[in-house]
Amino acid sequence: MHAIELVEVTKRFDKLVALDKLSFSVEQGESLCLFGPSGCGKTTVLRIIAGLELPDKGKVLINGTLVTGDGVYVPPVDRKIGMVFQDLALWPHMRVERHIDFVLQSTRMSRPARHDRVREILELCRLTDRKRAYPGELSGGEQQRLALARALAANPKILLLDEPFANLDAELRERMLSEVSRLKNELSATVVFATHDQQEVASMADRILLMKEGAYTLQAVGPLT
Amino acid sequence: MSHRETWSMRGFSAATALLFVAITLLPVGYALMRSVWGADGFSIDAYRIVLNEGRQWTLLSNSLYIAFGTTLVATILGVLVGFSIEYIRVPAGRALSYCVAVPFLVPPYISAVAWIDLLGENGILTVFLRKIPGIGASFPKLYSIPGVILVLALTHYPIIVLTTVLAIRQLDRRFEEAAQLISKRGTVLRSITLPLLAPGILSGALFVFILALVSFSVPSLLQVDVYPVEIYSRFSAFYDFRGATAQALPLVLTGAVVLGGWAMYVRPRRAWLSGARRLRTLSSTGPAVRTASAVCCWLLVALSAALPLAVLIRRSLPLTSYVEAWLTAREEIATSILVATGSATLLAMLGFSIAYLTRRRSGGGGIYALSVLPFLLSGPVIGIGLILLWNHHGMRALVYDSLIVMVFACTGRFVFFAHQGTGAAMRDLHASLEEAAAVAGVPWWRQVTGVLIPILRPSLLGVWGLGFLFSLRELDATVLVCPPGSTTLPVRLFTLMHYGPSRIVAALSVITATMILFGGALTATVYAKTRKVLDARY
Amino acid sequence: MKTRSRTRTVVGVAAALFCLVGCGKEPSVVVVYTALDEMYSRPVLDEFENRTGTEVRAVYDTEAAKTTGLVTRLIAEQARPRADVFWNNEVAQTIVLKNKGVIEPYLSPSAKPIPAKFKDPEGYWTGFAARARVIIYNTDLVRDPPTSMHDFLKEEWSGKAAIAVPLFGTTATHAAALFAFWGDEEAKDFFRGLLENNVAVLAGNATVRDMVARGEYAVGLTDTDDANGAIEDGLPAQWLLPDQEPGGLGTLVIPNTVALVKGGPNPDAGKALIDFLLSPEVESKLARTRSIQIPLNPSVEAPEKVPDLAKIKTIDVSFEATAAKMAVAAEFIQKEFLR
Repeated sequence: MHAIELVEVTKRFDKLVALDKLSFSVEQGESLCLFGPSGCGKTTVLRIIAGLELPDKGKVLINGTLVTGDGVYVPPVDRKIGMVFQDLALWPHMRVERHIDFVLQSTRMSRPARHDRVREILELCRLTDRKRAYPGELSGGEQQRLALARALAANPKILLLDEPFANLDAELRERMLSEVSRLKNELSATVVFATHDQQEVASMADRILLMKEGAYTLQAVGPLT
Repeated sequence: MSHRETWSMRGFSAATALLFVAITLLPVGYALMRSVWGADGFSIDAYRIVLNEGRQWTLLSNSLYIAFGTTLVATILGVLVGFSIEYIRVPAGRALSYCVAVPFLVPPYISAVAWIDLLGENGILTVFLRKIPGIGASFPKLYSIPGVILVLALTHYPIIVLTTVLAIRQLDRRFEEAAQLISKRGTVLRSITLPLLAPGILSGALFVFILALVSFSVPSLLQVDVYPVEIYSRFSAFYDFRGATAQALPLVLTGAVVLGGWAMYVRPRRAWLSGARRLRTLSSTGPAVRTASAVCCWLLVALSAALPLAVLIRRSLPLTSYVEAWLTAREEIATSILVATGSATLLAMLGFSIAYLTRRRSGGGGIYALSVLPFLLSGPVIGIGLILLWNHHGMRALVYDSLIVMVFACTGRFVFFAHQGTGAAMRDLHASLEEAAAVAGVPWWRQVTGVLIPILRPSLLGVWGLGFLFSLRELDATVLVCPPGSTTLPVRLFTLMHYGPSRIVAALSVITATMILFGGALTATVYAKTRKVLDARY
Repeated sequence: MKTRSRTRTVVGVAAALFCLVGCGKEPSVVVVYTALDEMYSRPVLDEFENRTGTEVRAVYDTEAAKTTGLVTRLIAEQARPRADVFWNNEVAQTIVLKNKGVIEPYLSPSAKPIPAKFKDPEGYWTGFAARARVIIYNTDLVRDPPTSMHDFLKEEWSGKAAIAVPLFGTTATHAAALFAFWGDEEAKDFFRGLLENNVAVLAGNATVRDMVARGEYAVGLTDTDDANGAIEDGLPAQWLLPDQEPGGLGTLVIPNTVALVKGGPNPDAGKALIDFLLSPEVESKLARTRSIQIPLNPSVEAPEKVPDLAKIKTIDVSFEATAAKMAVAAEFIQKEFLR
């Protein structure tokens, strides 16, 4: 059973064909990279997997269950996915710890359990001593980690990252990359990330989908040398 | 959406729709029904008769002339002051912006009385100006269309100051900076800055236009025949309800056409000003310009705010008038505050709900158009609609026999503005903030309470505050439905204006104005404080 | 845990609504819609409340609605009347209400001393405490005031005279009376003449008084109550009754009228209120106010400055005839008189 499977997904925005009969699958615990220039449809794929967009045609399955297609639509709220957005979308009015807590409030955890989980996630993402800060007060790297922490909070099995390290300098990016790798291994999560940066691909991807104009032209396996 | 969620969302939509229809549409509907359906069945004769009279069109053109003139003058004044405050950054900008709000917060019928004292035939200023050689006896009369335009422009330009300031704040400086690498200051202003600010500024101009178009109290005090006055006379002279409603239609249609045209102009341009970075500006204008602007602005404030207030205060002396006025109108003040609070709250809630439900759908424009109707329709017509709708035995009596009907009257009138205000703020919010919550498993109603409302709090408070102030001075729609035994302050004031001793009226006017100003200052302060938190964002 | 706070909110909202709606009703209430200036009517109603213990809930008129408000409201509320008594400060609109079936007859014992001319023959309404239409002039500007309505057509008052809009209030009634007395054509000619003589048309009788007292206009047509206000304020204005010479037109005396609303919620209290309003005591009180209302009950003594009804020459036309001409007059005024 694949962790994620897309079957002939097509998406049009007015006259522009963003995705053209795209089909691929991702295995459990695998890390797939969607690689390509801007505008090739990477973000759209992620949004469709998350349930934020509906394709015009095609199906999406998560862990063997149909979530999109054939008249079925499971909303994002119920898909148990973690996502880091391109512009991070941090909530400006919430402190760091509140970001995590707010997400956990929608689960059935008791308050002490939530408290523990918040602490755990903050430690994992090394934000413990910034837990009372607002997003506006955080540095670029800290903001990225917060976005990541929020995505991981509810223990998702699938993690989607949209150009996660685009705005970071080289050193920070190095650190974040190893961070995500470590997390991925610890949590044995399936990761799909979109990027146009070769170094990210090199360090994180198990498999690469080279995307161009809504379809992929090459599927490479293994890290590029 | 999960099963439970769909039902809760459906319930929320249904409740919102029900409230909207009951408060905004039904009174209009009842009034329109009554105008075509009577003892003799269905008939549009009234419309045919009334609309064929030539006089109506003369009056309508009067109203349009006034509306255009007012908008033009108010826009010029408002843009100049707005630029001075936010772009040129004159010193004491905040104080200036508070003072500029004064002429708008003081109800126009009060200002008109002050202006008559100043510029009427025997007004203080008139007498003084006539003595200046060259002007002499040919000094124009206040009781004329230009006079009405003067008073309306001076009381409404603050709206445009507000929208100009907001537009400038939302303008990404980088647009200008990119141009500054190539062109001179003047070109940048003309080709980049002003065109980009235009949609924002014009939204204020639109509001001024509509207000001037339906204005009744000022033209009637200055004895200029305009369309709204006609509608009143249809009632009192003829008790011709059908004719009066028919007569109200052209005004509504004009307003609708103007609004429609504006919507078409603004829609493709909306993205220019939304969500842009708010970069701190270093003022790049020289001290000479700043000083000159500051002087002009303060002169305008003196003319439009200080002068009328001073005249009123002078008329209100001795100070015992204030005690008398307070004793006379204590209950009315309490009633007004209660009604205004109720309707401001309802406005904020309803405006938010409608904006939320229509934000991603195309129906929004239609709903907005419908919600403007109660505002454009003349006071007595709405009043009749309200009576016909709510004056029935049973549950509806609960509404009609209490202050609730007044709350509904005010809310119905201003829903369009609450919807517009919250909608604009919501549009500015990037969808990803909600999406992030959705993906993280947060249900829709917690997205609303946990993410949307806290971030939108300044706008919601602003809508509440303005809704409160508008409801506080509302006269036309509420006058017909006051429950016996309770009146509101404006109704009382208007009554006293013609029947009571002038000094009490002046004192009460000053009290009213002070209350409104205080409310305005409070709103502004709370707004600024809540904004601070959010401004510390990226 | 969430349900509890939700219940609390519902209870809270319900409580707030309840407060708005009003907790419980008084044992005895009477609802009156009154067009007479609040300044004068409120003390009278307060007196009634003190004496009988019945709570009086009043709706006053506003200039904003141009006396339209109350009548329109009464007509609109016909399906479920909310008022018990209609206390008008003039007579024409009361007759309109009679014609529309909004009021019902009530022959109050207090009505007996009132002269027949000021009562409805079927008992639908009764007049009391009247005003007269007068010419007001500025004493600083005018040595020789006009003494007749026709003087307003003369050259010497061109551009210096003011009247209130003849579509509302007593001015409208006055116009209708002229239509009834002179006949349509002569009345129309009169108003056309006023137009040619540049008569100013102002918002209301009080405005006419204010403008004349301020010197913006030299002469004007207004009511005794407004005119007296200027005198009491010490302004340079005086008034006189026009056309009083033998064979002259006479002037209009317009009473307050009171009527029982058909189907009102508290009819007995309404009748009691009417009885009180028509009593000599109330007329005496109103005569002594700033509005110097003229008592119609011959037994009431009024102070000096109040004109004596017996000595006023009135226009020889019934109120019914006047009321019948309201629509015709209004039509003409709106079409031809108001530019």
